[in-house]
Amino acid sequence: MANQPEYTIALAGNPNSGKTTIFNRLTGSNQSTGNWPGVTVERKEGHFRFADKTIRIIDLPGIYSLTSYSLDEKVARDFLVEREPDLVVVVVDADNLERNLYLVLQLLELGEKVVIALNMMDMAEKSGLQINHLAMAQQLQIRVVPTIGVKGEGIDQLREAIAQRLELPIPTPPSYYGEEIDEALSEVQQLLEQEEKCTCPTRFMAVKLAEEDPEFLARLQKMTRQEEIMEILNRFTSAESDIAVMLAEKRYGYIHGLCRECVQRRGGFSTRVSFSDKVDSVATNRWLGIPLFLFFMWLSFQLIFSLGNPLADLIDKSVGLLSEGLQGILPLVGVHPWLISLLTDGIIAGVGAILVFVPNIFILFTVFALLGETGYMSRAAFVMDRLMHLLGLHGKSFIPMLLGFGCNVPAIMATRTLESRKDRLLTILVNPLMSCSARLPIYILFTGIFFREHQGVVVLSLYLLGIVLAVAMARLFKSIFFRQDTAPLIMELPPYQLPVWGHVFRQAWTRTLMFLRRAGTVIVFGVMLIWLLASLPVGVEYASAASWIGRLGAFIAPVLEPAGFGSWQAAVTLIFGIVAKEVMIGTLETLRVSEEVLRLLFTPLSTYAFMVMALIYIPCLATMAVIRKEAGLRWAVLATVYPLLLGWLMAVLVYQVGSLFLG
Amino acid sequence: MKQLTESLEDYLEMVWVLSLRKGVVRVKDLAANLKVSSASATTAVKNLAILNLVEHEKYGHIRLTDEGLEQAQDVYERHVALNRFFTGILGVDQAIAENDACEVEHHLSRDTFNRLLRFIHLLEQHRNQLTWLSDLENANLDTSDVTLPAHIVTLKDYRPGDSGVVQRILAQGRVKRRLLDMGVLPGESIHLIKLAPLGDPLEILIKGYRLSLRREEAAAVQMKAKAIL
Repeated sequence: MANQPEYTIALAGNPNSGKTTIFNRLTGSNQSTGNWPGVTVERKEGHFRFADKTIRIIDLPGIYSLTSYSLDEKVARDFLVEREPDLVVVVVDADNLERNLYLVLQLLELGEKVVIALNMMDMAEKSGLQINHLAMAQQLQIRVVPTIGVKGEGIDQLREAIAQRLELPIPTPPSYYGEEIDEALSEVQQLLEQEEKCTCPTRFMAVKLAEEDPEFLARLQKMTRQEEIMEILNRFTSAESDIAVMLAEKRYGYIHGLCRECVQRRGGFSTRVSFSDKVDSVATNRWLGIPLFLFFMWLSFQLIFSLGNPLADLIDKSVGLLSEGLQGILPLVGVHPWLISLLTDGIIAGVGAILVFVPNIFILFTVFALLGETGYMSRAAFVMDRLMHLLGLHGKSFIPMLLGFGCNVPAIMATRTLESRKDRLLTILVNPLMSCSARLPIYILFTGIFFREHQGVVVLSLYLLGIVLAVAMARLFKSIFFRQDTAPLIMELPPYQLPVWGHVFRQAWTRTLMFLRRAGTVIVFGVMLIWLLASLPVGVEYASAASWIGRLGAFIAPVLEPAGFGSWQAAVTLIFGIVAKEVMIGTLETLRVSEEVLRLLFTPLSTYAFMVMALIYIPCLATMAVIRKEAGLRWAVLATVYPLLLGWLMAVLVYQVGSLFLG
Repeated sequence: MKQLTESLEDYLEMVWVLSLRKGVVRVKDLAANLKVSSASATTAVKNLAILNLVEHEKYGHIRLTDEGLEQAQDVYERHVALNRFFTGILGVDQAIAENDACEVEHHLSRDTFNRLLRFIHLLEQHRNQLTWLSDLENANLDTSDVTLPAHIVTLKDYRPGDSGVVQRILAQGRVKRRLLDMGVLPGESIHLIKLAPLGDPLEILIKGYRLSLRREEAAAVQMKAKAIL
């Protein structure tokens, strides 16, 4: 075992090329999921053995090109350039050859050892395509293995091809740029070689400069020969074209020729595409498109919350029972009350606070994997993009925003489908303004006491206020942080396909585990901190006016005075609401704030101001944890601070302006 | 043909123009139309008569000789050719063109001027073969927007069901890179399948697959022609 040669290979391919299937087939259960360092792009890794070789395989994100358009492409490229895998397997959709082969050419240009997995051969055959993979292999000087991922066909041959290719030298890539461009590129290459600061392969860099890749143009800025280099590249610029266009033309031209030689069309027509077209004639229909989308959203919502909430309640109750049981038993065995409180109010409550999310999040990820695998996700973005774009967001932001009404935690995790980091950050930042279901009990309690007549309207107005503020804040953040940058929408609408349930659940489960691992620690820590504040100094009644949290509440209360609810009880309730919004109700109980006391502490107007505050003021701990995980600490701090200010401002505004009218 | 001074050419030309307009030409009319004094006009006519280009008739009437007529027509033709070039091709306003034509005529060396005229003649002869001329004409309609004339057809102007071929990519930066990567290249055929329910984005068929892009991005894809399939 010890002296077995170990290799690292990468798995690349376009989105929707069936890459995940090939990865699962190659590695079986020998895989693990994590994140790429520093970014939240998912990183899957596995290994398999073949003929005395242990081969580690890294699943790169699904990409169309190596031009750094999205984070995914940058991650994939950095891995290829910096880590230099021993070989790259490219999964190619045989039914969409030309565009898929574009990535292959780019990888060959990078000087990678490449093996093609010509996937979805069955689909291609149904479309009437006969692909001579041997001729293709001959032309490209690489191994081409036909596969049908979903059926597991061709996987053994793929393993063999990989193992064999690892031993062979890298063949010379095909040449298609033509003398003039090749000459210009090698001139640039020569200039780059004289540069001390050029660390990457010079040919690759020359091509990337010609492609106007911003990352490499930035590197060029630091070089002494930048003017000469740009001069060479600008030689090709005319009114109609330039070198970037020409490179793409040459590549696609070569691919076109290759396909003409290797592919025979038997006049058949693609059943996959015609099926897809039929579905789309309904799914993106002018009249039915939006209602159908809303129906799917409603269904997802129902699944996530109606199916998830009873399970979540069950977990909640079990945790409650456990801590009640312990509170009953432990004093009998002589355990110190302080320790019991630590165990029940601190640790168990903290762990429970995370576990409660598991059912919702698991179902969410299942629904998302389903929408993604079938191809509906991109249709949803297609249908909603106009509206969301008007609001300063992206078509794909709609689903996270909608999910926010259920729970902001899964909603923020759902922003992963957004390609552009800027769109994603915007969606994350304003998401907590969507009034989640945990805030509803507060509205119900307060409106039940103070607005018995108009309960529905008052609650609805709070939801609407959240939406209006979310749109306003999205616009504001956009103008502050991402001014000139509207992410373009150039998105593939892949043919629909039936989901592979195994993948769907596997994906959902690994993502749920990742949520537990990352968000869990923050939540437990937060809950413990609040518990500590409520229990100190030693001997004080839990969360009473004399406890640290009570004193903190009394300290904060004057700040809340202009908003009409400057009592220490209101302040403590808000502090506890940071743990989780649903805790606010329980806190009022703990503080023995009955309806009579509420009527003394609040007026209808200050109640409304308080609800506005509760709507906006601070995302709950779990939301903060998940924002930190998805967007990073700096954005998490912003997402915590701005709602606090906005919430206070709005509450004060409501109370002060309201006081004017109501005398 | 005789070498004349600019001023004499003007006189000769005006004699011809007036003879066409009125039938008879008097020194008085000549002076009035060229905005010169009668004395100067009389001297000029005398000089033209010495060159045998005009004849004095009774009652002060001036008549072109055959040689004079030929030379006047030549002068006139050159003047008009320049005028046509300014108004017809460059799209200059008639009044300005008239004035500028005279200016150019007089300030260019004879050699340059003749070559310019030859070029204009060629241009007019081959007008139909020169496809870019119509671009120029259209561009002239809108002088405010020189970089992107209004008539350029982009994918944004397409309706569902339209097909066409990409002419060039007008975008820069990452939109351009993304379009190129996705195969939206000059020479590629595009079929517009449909618009999203709210009218944006659009769904196109390219290279055998479906791509959606916003009208914003579609405006950066200039199309060659529009054909309805």
